[in-house]
Formats: sequence, structure tokens, C-alpha cells
Amino acid sequence: MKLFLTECRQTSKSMIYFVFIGVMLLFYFTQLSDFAGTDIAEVQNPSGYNSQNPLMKPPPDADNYGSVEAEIPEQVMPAALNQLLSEYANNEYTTYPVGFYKNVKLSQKQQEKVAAIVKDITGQRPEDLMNKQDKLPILITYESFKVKMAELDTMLGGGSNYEESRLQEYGNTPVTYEEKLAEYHNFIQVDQVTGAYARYFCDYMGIVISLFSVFVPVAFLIRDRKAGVKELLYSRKYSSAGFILARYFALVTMLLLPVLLLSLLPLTQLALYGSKHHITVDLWAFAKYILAWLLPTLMTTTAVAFVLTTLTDTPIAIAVQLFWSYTDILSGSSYIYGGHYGTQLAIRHNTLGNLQAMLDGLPALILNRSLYVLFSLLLVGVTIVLYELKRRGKLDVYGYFHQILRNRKSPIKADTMG
Amino acid sequence: MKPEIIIDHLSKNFGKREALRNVSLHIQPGMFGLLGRNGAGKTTLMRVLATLLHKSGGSVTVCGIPIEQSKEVRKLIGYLPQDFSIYPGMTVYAAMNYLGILSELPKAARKERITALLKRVNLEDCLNLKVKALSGGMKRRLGIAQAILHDPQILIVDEPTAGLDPEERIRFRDLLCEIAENRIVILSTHIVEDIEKTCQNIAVLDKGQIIYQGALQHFIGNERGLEEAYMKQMGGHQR
Repeated sequence: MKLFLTECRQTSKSMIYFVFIGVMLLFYFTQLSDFAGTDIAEVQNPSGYNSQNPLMKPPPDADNYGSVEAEIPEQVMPAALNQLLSEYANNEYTTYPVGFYKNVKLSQKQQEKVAAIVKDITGQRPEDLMNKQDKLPILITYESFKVKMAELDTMLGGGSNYEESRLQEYGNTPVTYEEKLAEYHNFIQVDQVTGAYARYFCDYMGIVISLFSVFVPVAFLIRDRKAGVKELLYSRKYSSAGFILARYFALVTMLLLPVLLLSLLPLTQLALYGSKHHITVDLWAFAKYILAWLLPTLMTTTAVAFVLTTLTDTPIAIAVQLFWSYTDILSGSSYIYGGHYGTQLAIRHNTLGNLQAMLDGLPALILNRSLYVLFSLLLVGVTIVLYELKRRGKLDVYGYFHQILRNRKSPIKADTMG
Repeated sequence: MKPEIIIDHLSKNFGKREALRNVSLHIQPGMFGLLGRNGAGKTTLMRVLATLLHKSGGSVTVCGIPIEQSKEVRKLIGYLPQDFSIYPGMTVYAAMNYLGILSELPKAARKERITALLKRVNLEDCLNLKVKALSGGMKRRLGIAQAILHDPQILIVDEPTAGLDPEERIRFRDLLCEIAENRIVILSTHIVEDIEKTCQNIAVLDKGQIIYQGALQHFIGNERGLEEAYMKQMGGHQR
């Protein structure tokens, strides 16, 4: 415990930690701004009903309650076809085969097959349809259309914009008063106001943690080599497991702390709003979502930093994590409103609504988060083994490559015997 | 537990290169000097004793404990590496406290020993000074203080006086002799004078092999001093 607290103190004194907090605050105030405060202000001084503001109770006579995705063949077929014509023209097909973004380029022969599919659907070649995008002729039934789209999706390697489960994204239907009222009741009773805001908050903070948190542990660990204290630390009595676990959990705690503190801002605003309007507010919602949604992401990025920095004594973990996070965020861009979780590292829910989508996908969400926690603990276990091997002088990847470089530069000077 | 180190036919290879070959030593309490030119294998031997390198062959026991039981051995050993340094942004007290925690010393013992040791190495006025503000000599004295923080029975110091001015070197040697009163202090250096002024027993290492071990006076024999005896032994080669 003493070591844990000391490592927490060490982290709090590092420059890179404050840079991380600065980036987080910048992201919060530029992207989320005063998201709860704005909604509260609008409820208190309404200029009409806004279906985007969950705090507003829908009136029975509003003009618009918003819209939701729906699999309406008349909308889906022309919209999907338009998307296909655009991708065909550029020969760039966006896919997410295993949850990660992939840009597929087809051969000329495969492009001909796509053109044949378009001709089967419309009776014309894609080139002849380029100027008729408002009035595309569709000659087949929706069932046949779905078969053609499945054929196309298979040719693209799966996970394309034409996958059967994604076709509904091309259509939408207006929300009725009854549906909006039910959503409002869910917001008040199930989410208890703060739940919806906590999900939205975690959506943005998940991106910050996924992309930027890795810098702090890498800088923290690499300073052992830079300060030349590795041998001094290795020769002490403590156990490798105790040392790595204390450092790991200290960094995770210190990185989570500013997120928890920042969440107090919208929480306080919403709690005051709830108390003024006699609405029950879940005071723990932000903490619950931060721990359940963000902690596994943070544990994973920190564990990646630990295992790769301990192995190589280089900042390679930053490159690895940035690549992973970038592709993860790109792959998640199709599901930013929640409900699809798969292998996503940063959980997306870029809306104050859509609670039902989260509830429907809850088993997948729980599985996703649990697997990331287990994965991070596995990486920490590997780190402990690597650290123990280094302590005993059985592993020195950095020294090995450093020696090779030295030997290349100056074969005479190379000598490790001391 | 009697402070002693028994090294029997120790060897250490780096790939195809033999850094240590059939090294056998019996080290007892007091100052023990390990002399040898650069690249003779001194640092390798020190690092094996400090459990930082695994041996390729032979056996080593520290106070009766095989070196393979590294956790137990680390309790008994204090180590001052050749290029001692600690996080430059830490204060002297914080650095000692951190290393004390890693040595699993209880809070009260840490506080008491840190204060006493910093006084002993004349750094009692530098408690709140950052490590980066210390001079080379002060840093080396801090190195000694951290190495004996957990009161080890064996202290291993690798080239501790390199780069120090003559006055600081004398002060440092006196400090080592003081510490060696009730424990083993192994002083590894290529500076002959340091060994001559402090050690009763020595070993001379060359190309990974022990070419002499025994009393310092016996090694000097009829020569005018250790330096001359050493030069003769090494065949007049440049150190």
C-alpha cells in the first residue's frame, strides 16, 4: 500500500500527467462543452419543444419527435444503391471485417461483378446511372435485393455497408408521441437523468483515454532507464509482482481520478436540477459508467504500455496503442450511437437517447468489458514475468539491440565485461 | 549468520565470450579489494553477486544461501553500481525513502535510518535538496547511504571513486573502512591506490580469471607498493 501511494505521488508530479489532464480538459470543453448545463437552461427557458433535449417532457401536440433507423425497403434500396455507386466509382469500399476499418480495392474482374449486380437490380450499368441518382430504377423485390447485397458483402470480405444487419441504417421513420413519451419515462425512471448523461460523457472520455492515456505510463516507466536507476531498483528486496502491481494500479488510479473529478461538473448541475424539480437523480451514475465502461479501456491501454515498455525499454507502446485506438475508433464510427459492441476498445454511445439499444446489447457489452479486463490482467502478469527475467539478467532486449548498433558503429569499443 | 561469500568455479558467458572463467573466492568480513584492468570481468562478477546477472556455471553462496535464492540474497546485499544515479527530480530524502520502501523497511525504521545515514555521510543538510543539485562526491555518498539503508551484511561497491577529486576520494575511502567494521565490503576498482589504502585481502582479475587471491601484503611482497607489484604481476602491461 505504501508503495502504491508513493507511486501515485510520483505520477502526480510528472509533467506528462498534467499534459494528459490538459488534453482531457481541452477535449471536454471543446467537444462536450456545457452539455448538461445547456439542456437545463433550455428546459428552464423553453422556446418550443426540442426532441434532442431529454430533459424536456414531450407535449402531445409537437410537430416533430425526431426519427429512428428503420428497414423500409423504399428507403433502403435507393440509398444503399447510391452508396454502392459512389464506392464503385472510386473503387474504395469501406468494410469492418473483424471490427476494424479496412478499405477494400477490387480487381477489374471483381468490379465487373459489382457492375453486374447493379445491372441485375436496375437493368443498367453503374456508369449509366451516375446522373440518375435521384430516380434509380429498381426492378427486383426487396428479398432479391437483400440476396444481391449479401453476395456483394461476401465479395468484399464481410463487414461492408451492404451487410444484412446494416441495411436498416439506410432508412428512418419518425418517432411517434407515444414512443417519445416512453423514452422520456425511461430517461426519468431507468436512467434517473444522470445515466444518459454519463453514457454521453463516457463516449467522449473513452476516446481520450483510448488515444492519450498510454503516454503517461510509457513516460513513467521509461524514466527508469533514462535516470539509470534500473540496477538500483532490481537489487532491492521487494517482489517483482508487488512492484509491478503497485505501479500499475497507481497509474490506473491516477489516470482515472481526473475523469472522476471532471464528471462532478455535469453531475452537480444535474443533481441541482433534479432537486429543484423534484426528480430523482442517480448520484452514482457517472461513477458506475466510468468504472464499468472506461476502466477496462484504461486498464488495457496501461497494460499495453507496461508490457511493451518493460520488454523493450522504448516508447514503442505509444505507436502500437495509437494505431490500435485509431483503427478502433474508425471501426466504431458506424456504431457511434451504441448498441453494437463486438471487440470495441472505446465504447461508443454518442447520444443522450438510445437507452434501449444499450439494454439490448448488454450481454455483448458485459462480455466485451470483461474480456478487456481479463486481457489487461493477463498482460500485467506477462509484465511481471518479463520484469523478473530482467532483474535476474536473463532478458535485456534494449541492451541486445543497443549492443548490435554499437558493434556496427565501433566493433573495437564494444565490450560488456566491465 | 556469518557474513561470508563462497564462490566456486564460477563462470559467466556472454554468447561465445567468456567473461568469467572458473572463478573461486572465499570472502570474509572486512574490506576486500577486487583489482583488474577495464574489461577484466570485475563488473560482471559484482553483478552476479548482486543477483543482477545469472551465472553460466559453478556455484555462489552468500552467507550460506545459494545465489539462486535471489530474494533472500537481496536482503543481505547492498549494492552501489558503477554509475550510481537516482531520479534527478526527487529530493534526497524522498529518494532514500523510496528505496527504503523497496527494501521493505517499516516507516519508523526508515525515518530513523535515513536521518542517521545521511548524517553519517555528511548529507544531513541536504534532505530537501533535489538529487540533480548534488555534486559528484555528494551523489556518491548518497549512493553509499542508500546501499546500507537496509543494514546489509555485504556491501558491493563498483568503481566508487572514479571521477572524484583527491579529497573526496580520501573521505570516501574512510567511509568505506568505517562501514566494513562489521560486514563484508567488496571494493571493485582499477585504481590501485584505493585498494592499497583500504583492503586487507584482495583478488586480482584478468581476462575473466583470478590470477591472485590472498593478503594484500603478501601480494606486495618485496615490491615498493601495490602499484609496482600489480604492474609486475600483469607483465608490465598498461592498466
